[in-house]
Amino acid sequence: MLTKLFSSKLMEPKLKEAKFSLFLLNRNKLTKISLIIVLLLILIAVISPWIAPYPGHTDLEVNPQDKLLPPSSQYFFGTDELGRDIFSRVIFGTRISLNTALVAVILSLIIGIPLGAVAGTIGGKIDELIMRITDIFLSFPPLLLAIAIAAVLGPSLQNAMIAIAISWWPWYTRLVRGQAISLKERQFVKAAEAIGTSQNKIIFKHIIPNCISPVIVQASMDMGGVILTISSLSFLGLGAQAPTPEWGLMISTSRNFFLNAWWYSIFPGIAIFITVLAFNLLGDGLREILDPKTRKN
Amino acid sequence: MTKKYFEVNNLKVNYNTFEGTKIVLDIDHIGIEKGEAYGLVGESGAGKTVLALTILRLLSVPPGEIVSGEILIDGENLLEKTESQMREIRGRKIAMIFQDPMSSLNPVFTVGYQMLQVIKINQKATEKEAVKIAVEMIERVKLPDAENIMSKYPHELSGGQRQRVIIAMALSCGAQFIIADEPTRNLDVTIQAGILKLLKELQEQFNVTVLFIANNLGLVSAVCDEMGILYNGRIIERGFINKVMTNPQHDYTKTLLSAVTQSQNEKKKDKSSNSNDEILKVSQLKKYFPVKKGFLDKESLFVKAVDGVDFGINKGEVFGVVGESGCGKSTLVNTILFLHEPTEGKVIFDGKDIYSLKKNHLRKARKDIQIVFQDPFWSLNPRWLVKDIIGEPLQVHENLSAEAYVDRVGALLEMVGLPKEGAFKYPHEFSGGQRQRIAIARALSVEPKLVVLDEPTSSIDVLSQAQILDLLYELKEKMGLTYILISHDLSVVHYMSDKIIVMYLGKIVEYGKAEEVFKDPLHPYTVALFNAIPDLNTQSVKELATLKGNVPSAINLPQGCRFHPRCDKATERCKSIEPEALYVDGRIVACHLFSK
Repeated sequence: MLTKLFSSKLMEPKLKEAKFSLFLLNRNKLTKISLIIVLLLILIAVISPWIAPYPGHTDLEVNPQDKLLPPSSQYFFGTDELGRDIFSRVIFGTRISLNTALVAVILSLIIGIPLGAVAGTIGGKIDELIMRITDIFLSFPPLLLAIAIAAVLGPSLQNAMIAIAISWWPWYTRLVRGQAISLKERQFVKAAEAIGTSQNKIIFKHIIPNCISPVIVQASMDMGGVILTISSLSFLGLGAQAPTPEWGLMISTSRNFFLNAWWYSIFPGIAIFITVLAFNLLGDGLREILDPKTRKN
Repeated sequence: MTKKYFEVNNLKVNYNTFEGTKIVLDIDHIGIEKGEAYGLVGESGAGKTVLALTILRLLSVPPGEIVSGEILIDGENLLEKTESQMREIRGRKIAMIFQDPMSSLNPVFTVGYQMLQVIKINQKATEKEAVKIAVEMIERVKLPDAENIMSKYPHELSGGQRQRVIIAMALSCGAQFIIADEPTRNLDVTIQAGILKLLKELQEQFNVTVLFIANNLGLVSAVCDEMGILYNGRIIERGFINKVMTNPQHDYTKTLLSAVTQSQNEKKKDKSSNSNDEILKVSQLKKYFPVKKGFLDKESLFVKAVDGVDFGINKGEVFGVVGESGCGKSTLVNTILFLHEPTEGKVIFDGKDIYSLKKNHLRKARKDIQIVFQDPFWSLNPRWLVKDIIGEPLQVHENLSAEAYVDRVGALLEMVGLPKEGAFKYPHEFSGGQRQRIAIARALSVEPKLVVLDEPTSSIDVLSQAQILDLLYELKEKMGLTYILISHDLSVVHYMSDKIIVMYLGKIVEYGKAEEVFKDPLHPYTVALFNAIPDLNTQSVKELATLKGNVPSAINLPQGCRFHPRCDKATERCKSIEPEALYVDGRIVACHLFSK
């Protein structure tokens, strides 16, 4: 009975918040559109094996007699030099890009948020240590780091993911640290301190939940950036390897056929463009919803 | 009916929010004669600021929407003006003085530059003429050394000086109508008195019309001729000050008045409940904050926030701490609670020396000392449900089953007069007074012995203020609590305390029984402080005391008595020798006037 009481009552304020977010979302058309696109992309990523007309073409299957055909009713986006359906490959690419980007961003969040919160809340020598390490990592360009990692571990999508996570977490640490420094002067944190709450609890229960909004905004914007970086790495041959249907890799291969098969590079390019733009717009919109100060009336 | 200088007729303003349309203003009539001061009193959320913004047409639309009505100034309807016409009127005809003077000055330009810009644009004056006007205006608002003031950046000026600069800017454009939106809210009482006097003078000498918006009846009664009481967007009572004060018609006005008069009167104290057990003893407590002068400067300076404070509190007492901002009240309390590392001194609480306790013992001791903070908007974690906020101390100090926990939280909520169901809401769904009740419930959840009340009522409305004070008193009696009450609001301290200390720049200047100190303050600072606050009996601002100058910086303290540069009675001796704490009639006063 107690649990019942809890769940119904607990849901009430959450529902109200959700309704308010929906209201704000409804006011901002661009955010709404970007959210729909992102949801659509996620849906495509999930059901890609069922909607791709030639799922085999995303793997080892080749079809040389149909190579480099222009878009038609049989192959919506045309075919590549091995006669594989580009439409199927672009759809599968959604899954790969979103998957890797999400893992890379979540990895950096897991490293970045606690470090930033600890640095900002405790301060002093620990802050100094964490922030200098952060600075060191920030001074590596992600591409260079990825090349180094690929050189050591060998080029693969997974290693590209790790390289991105390593070069991305410091941004979150900085962001969270700044938030934590201002939050720890707030009275509710002082109140918790006066009550006798332990420092760990203050960091994880008071500081982190209150600095999560800007992090979510930053993370959703970064999704676009990470997708772009993964594609660049694959383009350079440091990320996904053939025959993986990765957008950047597809564009890279398509360069050889650029002059007589425009569809080969255009469609994966459009896919990258739409995905990155949608995530950036979503990030902007989320900021408006989560941070009342930037709200336009 | 003849037209007055300024009139608002049938003004209706709506707010469109996601929960639907809300009527925020529905004013049938406000009329102000030229050169009069009109006071508008209301609680927060009554629509005071919305009205001010609507008059200046600065209301953001949407979510606001002006449905109907007219705002006439000199017979012209402001609501029919175009945006470019309004720009002419703002500043030149109507000026607004905001609550926070810092936000209306640009921090990257000097005050003088900003004034000259405004004058040059509005009066089409040359540089030389503009400088002349600016100096004249700064002198008119009684700021000494106009040229020096003009060369300063806003952050170099004190709050009161900034507010004066804003008024000077308003006057320099020839504004005939000033809207003052709680202009003294963030200022100290002695500074507040000065600003009020200035506004009154301007109104009388230069025939400026003033719309004075406040949440405090005392302020309005001191400054204004006529007043209106705003409640939920409607004017529910209006008339001459005396008439409204002595013969209120509306029930709301009556409760408002009784809330004020009640806190002005001393509470019927039950002295017998005080025992002689000393629960807290503070001796020679000092807290200095180091400030580095420059990067290479080895020699660091100190802000002496608390500088040698001694006192003791008996069980069951209410101990008041009074002083203006920057006097070290909050630092004192934070140091006692060991939220700051003390520089020197000893605090004995319940027989234990707080500063020598080990970390885990300290956490246990903290169970017995709880604190209620000033601002209930910041002291509650906005992302937690009320049940978790109130239960936080329980989680730290007690092991309760889930069921017992919910029961305790419910009981605590009922104890502070909130419904049990509130446990499952977020803090932002409550009003300021209710949030303060939640903060009180949190502090009392682990049955502490000593509760520190850090300005418990300063950011909530008058009506809820009285209720909160009564609640606190009732709980004290019921639970046998001891309070330390910090406030710059003397009526609150007067109403609650048994003993008080008055602090000035980190030192105690007067320490004694509350009734005696209030009846007959001895130290010149205490006298000034007490006389600076307008109450309902204040007929005119001229009765108010003002202190000259500003509070000196706590880094470069004046030689001798810290109060001497602002003291009327200062002698040569005060300038060189720091006064000792003297016992006078069972009180402690730190002033040379009382030494033999």
